[in-house]
Amino acid sequence: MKLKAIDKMTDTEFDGLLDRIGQNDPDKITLPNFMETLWALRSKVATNVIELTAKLVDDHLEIDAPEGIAVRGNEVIVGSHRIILRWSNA
Amino acid sequence: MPVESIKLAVGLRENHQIALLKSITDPIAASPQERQDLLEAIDLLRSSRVRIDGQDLSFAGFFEKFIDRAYTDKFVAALLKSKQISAHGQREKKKIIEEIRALFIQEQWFRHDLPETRFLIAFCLYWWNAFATGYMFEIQIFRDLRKSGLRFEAHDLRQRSERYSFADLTISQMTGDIKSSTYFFSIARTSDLSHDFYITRYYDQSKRQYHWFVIMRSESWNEIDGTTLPMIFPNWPVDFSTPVTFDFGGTDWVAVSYHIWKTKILEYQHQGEQ
Repeated sequence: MKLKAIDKMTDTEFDGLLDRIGQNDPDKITLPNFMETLWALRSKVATNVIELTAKLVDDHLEIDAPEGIAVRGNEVIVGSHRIILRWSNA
Repeated sequence: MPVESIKLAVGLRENHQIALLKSITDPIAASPQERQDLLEAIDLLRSSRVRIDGQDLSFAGFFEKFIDRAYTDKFVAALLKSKQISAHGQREKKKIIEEIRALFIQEQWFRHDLPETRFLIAFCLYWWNAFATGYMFEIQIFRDLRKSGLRFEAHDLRQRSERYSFADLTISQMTGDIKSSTYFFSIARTSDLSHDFYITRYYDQSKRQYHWFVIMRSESWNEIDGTTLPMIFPNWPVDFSTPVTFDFGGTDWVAVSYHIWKTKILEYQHQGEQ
């Protein structure tokens, strides 16, 4: 539902809004809300560094990633990103 | 004495109004941007001006003079006497909201012929709701810490001057604040995060209850324990039963459940006695 700005509400709508104050705690924040905000702000104020170690064993890469980072073969999944590591001796 | 005129702060735009509305009607649905807009909206409303009885006051000054001074002492006193802070506090909070609304009509602080007064009443009711919610949480925490036998010094909420003290409490030389939500971390100015720890909470929609937790500077956490797991964004934890560490604005923080934090602090204080 699209909200109408305070200065565009009818008197009845505005009275209805005032009735709602106190029914909810202000800034009721869930854990995902908090994490999303933190993540959004953090991206602005800091660079997120994820360190990976990859070593060549025979003909394939073995990737050592921190807990929480999914590794499938030579692919590393970080959030919605799929990062593919390839080895070349060129 | 009716409100004579209102001058809203320059920069108060529709997105700020929408963020304020959302925080009243459906706070959980607010996006990170809307939460940021809400903080800006409150700052802009606090600095907006109202002329009353020949005096020019900011909205924040108006709130302090006519709302805070009239209602907070009696609200805090009622909470301190209450055995059921949450239920009793909610009832008292709503009762006072109704009293404030009636006062706005009676004194002509809210005038249909002066539509800008809508912003004054909306700000005062919103701000009262926020203050009252904060005091309720703070008293719950103080009561729980005392019951647990933890040694701490707290500001006296019955004293107006102490309600605005630098820190809400000090534990083993660490200063802390009690925040009824994590909104304070939404301010991307780490200089504002000047305390060693923050006792706060998040809302669990599925269980319809709050979970208390603590965000602490990692050097303070290292004093009392030290073991943490790194928080790997964006794969965040489902709770804080295991302390997790994260970097924010160049500072390392630890988030941990309130219960674990309290147990560690008690152990730390006992070790200090030996």
